[in-house]
Amino acid sequence: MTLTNVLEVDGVVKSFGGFKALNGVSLKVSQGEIVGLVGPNGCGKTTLVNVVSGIYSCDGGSVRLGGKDVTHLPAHKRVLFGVNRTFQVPKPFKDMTVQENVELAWNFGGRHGSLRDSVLGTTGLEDLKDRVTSTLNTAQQKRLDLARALATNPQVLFVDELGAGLNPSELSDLAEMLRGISKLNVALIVVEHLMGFLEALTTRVVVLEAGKEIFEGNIKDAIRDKKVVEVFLGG
Amino acid sequence: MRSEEKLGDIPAKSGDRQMTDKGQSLRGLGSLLKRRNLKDLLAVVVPVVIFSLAPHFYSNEILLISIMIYVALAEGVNIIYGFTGYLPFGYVGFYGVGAYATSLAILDFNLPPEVSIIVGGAISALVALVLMPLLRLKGSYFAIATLAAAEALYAIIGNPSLKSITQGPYGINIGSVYSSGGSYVVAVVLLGLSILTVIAVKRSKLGLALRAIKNDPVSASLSGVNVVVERTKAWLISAAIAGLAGGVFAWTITIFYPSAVFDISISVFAIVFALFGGVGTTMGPVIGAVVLYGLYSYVGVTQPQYFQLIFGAIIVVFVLFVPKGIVGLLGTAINRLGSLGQRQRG
Amino acid sequence: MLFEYAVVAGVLFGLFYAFLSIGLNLVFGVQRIVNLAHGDVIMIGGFASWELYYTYHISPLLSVVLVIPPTVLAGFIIYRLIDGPLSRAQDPEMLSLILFFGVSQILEALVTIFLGNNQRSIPDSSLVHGPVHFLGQSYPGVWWIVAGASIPMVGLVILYLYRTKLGTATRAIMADPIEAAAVGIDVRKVSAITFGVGLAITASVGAIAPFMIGGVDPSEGVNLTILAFAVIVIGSLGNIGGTVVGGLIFGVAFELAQLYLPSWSSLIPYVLLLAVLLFKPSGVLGKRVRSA
Repeated sequence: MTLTNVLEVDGVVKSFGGFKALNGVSLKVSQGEIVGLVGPNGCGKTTLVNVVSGIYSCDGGSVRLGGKDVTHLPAHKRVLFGVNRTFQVPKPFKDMTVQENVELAWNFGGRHGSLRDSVLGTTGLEDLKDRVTSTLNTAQQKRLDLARALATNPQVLFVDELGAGLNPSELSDLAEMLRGISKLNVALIVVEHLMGFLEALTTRVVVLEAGKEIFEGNIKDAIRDKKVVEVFLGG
Repeated sequence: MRSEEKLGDIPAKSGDRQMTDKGQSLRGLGSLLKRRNLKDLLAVVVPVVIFSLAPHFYSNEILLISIMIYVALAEGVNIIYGFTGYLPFGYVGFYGVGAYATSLAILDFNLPPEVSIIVGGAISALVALVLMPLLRLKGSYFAIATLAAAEALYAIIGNPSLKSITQGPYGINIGSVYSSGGSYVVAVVLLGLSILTVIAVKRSKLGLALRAIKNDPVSASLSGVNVVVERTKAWLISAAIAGLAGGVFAWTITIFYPSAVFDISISVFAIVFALFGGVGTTMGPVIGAVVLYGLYSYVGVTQPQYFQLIFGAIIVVFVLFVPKGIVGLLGTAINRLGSLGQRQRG
Repeated sequence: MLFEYAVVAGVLFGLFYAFLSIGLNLVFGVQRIVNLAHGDVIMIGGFASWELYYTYHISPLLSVVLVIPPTVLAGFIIYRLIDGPLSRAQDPEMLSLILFFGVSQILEALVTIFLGNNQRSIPDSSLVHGPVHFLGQSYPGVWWIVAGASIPMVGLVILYLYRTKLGTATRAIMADPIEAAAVGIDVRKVSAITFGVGLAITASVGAIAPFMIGGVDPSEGVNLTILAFAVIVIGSLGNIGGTVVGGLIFGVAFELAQLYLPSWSSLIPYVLLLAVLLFKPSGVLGKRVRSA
């Protein structure tokens, strides 16, 4: 089976004022793959997610989705090319019901998709679908972010610290949920601090430090890698 | 092992639940839809019927038309402010453009007034399209920029250099087409149309998108919503309503100066009426315009400063303490009464 | 020669415009309050100056200073009242805008109720007798006096910001309120004082504004607010030094327009404001105001 790259990030640069948040980061992700994205705080993980999803424009390099160059497309158009993401601090539509949140995303971002009716089940929100979002707790709002993203039928999905603050049994449920999502042929890039969680979930990790990639490969090798250890113990 | 089991039996369970849920929620949805349909139908029919019959009981038609015009303007503000959070201080600009475009269509092209009013609405929407880049601004800059745009439109249309086209500051006279019955009917149509538009926006995909944008523009764009395009739609609809209202005013009053149709207090009134009644609701702006303009015309015309004081206080108090307006307040009160009644019964 | 006249007049008015707008920029810089009642504060300063001149024969130049202490106090109290709701708001900038729009209506109404809606003016002779000759042209003396008064007043604001402890704290809050709080600055108190200072400098310019805009009347607020916005947007919002640049650009542009396109010159404030917002939204010395 040949794997096609659904996401190709090539030498992306992003600076704020004089500060280079991303300094030539490249990343290739293939269909249905689960990749871990790790690094100390401020290393550029979230900036990378923002640049790929189109929230920020980048100052250099390129982003390709399914072979199509989307470097200069705004976020709402990139969604149609199959990229989406969740937020570290969840950002659902608070005055709407859970159902309406998903309905909106399906209507505007994923009309060709088949996931409309299943996303609430997949993310375990079926029972909450008529609740107004502002009444949900943070963990539930994070899952709603995920549901909203899934409703747009993504090929590539960035999951930003979904596991933070969960207990071990909730974490294993989450891992199960993510595995189920990747089986729908959605490539997942999981941004996470919890190495144990990633070890159970991912085939490969990418480690960022100060806007640069310092390691890419198997997570077991990452833990043994000198540079990685230095960054994590030092930072 | 544990998690696999879980994964295995979740679908079965939720399937069961879905069956019963669907039955219930469908029935619930059905009655909800019916109730919503009835409510929306009444929201249009009741004001239209009342204002259609009003001249039989009350002879001041100009006042009735003015109230209807302000209902339309308040609903127009509702569409842009209530649904997007963008406050159009310069809303009066579209009203003035509509009044002038209507009058010039009558004077220069001999179009019938009814058609000219539609031209007025269209030209206002066209001006809004030209001003579309303003929607790229953050909300507070947008508010000030629209104010500047309205003043600029006034300075252009009322400019002595354009006397040959707009009569400049010397005013417009379309007395030749005066028809009190005709303009009254058109005003009632405008009233119904403006309420209907709000309902239509609310129920459409556009309404859903606008609510999403107001909640969180970033998440909206990540749901595939083109934020600028959707806002623009609301902006154009809102401008067209103001243009139509300006046209109705022109046909009603037939002789007017530019200062009368570009008066910033028209924006202020429309915004206050909408805020008072409740932005984002269908009936709020209607109630706000009827109550406050009625009150204004009863005591305010001779002493406008007292009304300005009251309007200022309404803005401050409602923005800080009653953000959902009178309709929101009534809604809460009714809900409380309802739950009180239930408790007593139970 | 007419060109030179327009440029000199533009510079004189530009200094006045900088004085007229600097308070708005200061208030915006701290906690992002959009003071739509700015023009009304100028108007009230004007009426105070008129009252002081006709009742107590106090020179408007002295009133420029006299109106400051009560306004600082009033501003301090107002800020304390609105600070809570603003900090809880989802979009404080927008809330402050609507709120002060309401305040603007209230102020205009109150002044009309108590003082009537006639325009009042203070005679030029209260400041200076006769015109001033400069480079072969003759200018109204009050222009020079007002411009001359504007320089030290604007200078004082800048000195306050850059040479006093309170000013340094103010600038820290302007840059980043959270960081400022982290280094031990009492953000609430300093913001309240700055708000008071911003309003006071605005009432202060009101005391001499009647000489430049032909008098003072209750309804002048809106146009003055737009004018001040045009000036600070040109100079860039939140940048106090930029206000001087914005005032000068605006003043000279306006005078030149009056010279070459007299009937269209009233468009200048609006067109400049719109043009800068749309094409150079960061002003001369930049901050981001676009959202999409």
